[in-house]
Amino acid sequence: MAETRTAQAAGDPKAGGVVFDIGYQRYAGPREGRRRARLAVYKDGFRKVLGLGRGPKAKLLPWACILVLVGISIVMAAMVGFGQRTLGDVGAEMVPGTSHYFYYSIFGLNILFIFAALVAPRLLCPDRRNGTLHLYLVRPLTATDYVLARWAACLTVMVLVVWLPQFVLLAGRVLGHPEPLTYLDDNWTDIPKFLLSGAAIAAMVTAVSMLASGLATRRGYASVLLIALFVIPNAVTAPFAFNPQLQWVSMFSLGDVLGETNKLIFNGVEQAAEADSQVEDPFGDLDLDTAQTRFSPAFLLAAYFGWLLAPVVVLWMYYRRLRL
Amino acid sequence: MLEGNALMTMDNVTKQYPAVVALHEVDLSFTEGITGLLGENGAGKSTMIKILLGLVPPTSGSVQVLGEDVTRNPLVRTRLGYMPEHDCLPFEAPAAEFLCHIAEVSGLPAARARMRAADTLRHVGLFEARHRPMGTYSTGMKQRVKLAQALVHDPDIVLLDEPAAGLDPAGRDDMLGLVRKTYREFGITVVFSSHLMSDVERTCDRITVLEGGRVAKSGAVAEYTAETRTLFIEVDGNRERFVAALEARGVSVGVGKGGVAVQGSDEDLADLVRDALVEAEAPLRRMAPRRRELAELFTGVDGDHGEAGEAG
Repeated sequence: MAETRTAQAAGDPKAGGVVFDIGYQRYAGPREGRRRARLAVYKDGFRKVLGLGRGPKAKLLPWACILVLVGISIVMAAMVGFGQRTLGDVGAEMVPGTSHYFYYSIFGLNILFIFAALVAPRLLCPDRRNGTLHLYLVRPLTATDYVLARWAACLTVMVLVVWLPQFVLLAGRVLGHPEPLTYLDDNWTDIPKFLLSGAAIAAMVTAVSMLASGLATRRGYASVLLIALFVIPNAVTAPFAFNPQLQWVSMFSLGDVLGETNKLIFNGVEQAAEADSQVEDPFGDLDLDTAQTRFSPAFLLAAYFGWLLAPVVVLWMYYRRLRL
Repeated sequence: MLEGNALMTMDNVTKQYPAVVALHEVDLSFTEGITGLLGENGAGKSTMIKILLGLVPPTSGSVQVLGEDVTRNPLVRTRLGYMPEHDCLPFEAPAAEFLCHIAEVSGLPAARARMRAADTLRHVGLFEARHRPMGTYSTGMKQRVKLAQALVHDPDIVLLDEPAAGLDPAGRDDMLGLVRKTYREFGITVVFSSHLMSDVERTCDRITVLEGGRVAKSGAVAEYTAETRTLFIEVDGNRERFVAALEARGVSVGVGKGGVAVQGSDEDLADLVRDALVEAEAPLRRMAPRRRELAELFTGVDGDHGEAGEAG
């Protein structure tokens, strides 16, 4: 063991400040293998998505999206609360588009798409572009471990981001009601519905955005690809929405699949008579908060799981076959 | 070429890519110490390292690393370190944070990972700069971080792919010093690839020369740099008179920029040299048997008949 003294201590040994150079020490502690490795990649992914531990630039866009999502739910809760306080239950019902179902039918879903396009590429693109992926795969971690850990990190953030505004909306609706417990007793079924619907939305958005991020080398390319994937099919399939024979075409649109799944979970399936009346007059008597899906649950679930599983399998196969 | 106490062995390993055979029936073992993989670009050095790490499966043959098949048991990699030749660092992350993360990915618990990251950065001389983003580092500092990430989990073996590539002479010296330190002070066996003879000669105990995917030579560096039967002499003046005096005594002399080389190493020759020095009044600066250089492995020059100017 070598011992050196600091400048202050050199003249007077009693002054303290002794520096010991104990040299290189071999590591004799625990090695926790793949479990620790997967957890580390997951934790790192979670931090990367939200820009934690990085400068303001990395935090700006994801947190701006989260604030907008929460802001929308606060506005919705305030509208319901205002109607409730001024005109009672009738007043609350007179404020359309403020339900848990409606939250993700228009604005919320689009902002979530933007959020996914901005943050998901952070998880896979830089590792491939910087060559850091090599460093991961020479450790006790397989390509499958790596990509699943990143996927799980993205899913966790997406679920939290999807659920947070719904809880804020719930809190607003409960606290805005003159009898909060009565409101909860009457509407408690909204909670499992928005949890389930939120998880379904988060899972599919994660699957699609991680696939795009896995195939693109640059974050910018992945973001543009994702925005295009969210917007273009929606625009292409929109004309078929009111044609009963061609409604199935809308299942090629990610937004439509999620929208219809959301309807199924909250409001169920539309009866044939109601569907016919809406086809005849698609813009008449439109109820923003209780809209039902026109697709059979089996068809809708097949479309949903197709959109969910195909990107997962393609991404997994791509990383399994990746040669460095 | 398989030996006892081998840490890694390759048994009849062939790696065939669609257009090229990268390795051809390689039998090789790596023992404790510093082993240099020497070869031109495309000789198969990087492919060999990737196969040893389990990143690329061999087309045929078997590979054992620390007694395990690395392609079937990725846990072996907790005891391996790898420093790639190319860039691999996230530029926005500070070195300390990145190393801590990499240590965790290697299986170390979080608290231990933090301690190891700080210690390893101290050992490679980056302790003061550890909280700066790596994008602000010089090339030499980035190479040090790359070495540190290969050592942070305290592996038994570390594989370094061209560790001194892209460095200036001073940076190259520092990096090769760290490579020597890795084995001599840290006790970690090193396999490092290079296409530069001088790096391998200065750093390694053993050498494996690859040519076109085959092992051309393999053995201790000392075997290839053994003393020759050529005596190398440098004088501070009167060199022409000294050469003439030697030739007058019937000694075969080779003259180069650096000095004078004479064939033979026995005592009679030494006496003749002494007499010639006295006669020519040439002050002696240095006299020693000449050592072969690794470069001769490739050029085919026989050390006993080498140019005197290359000696020393």
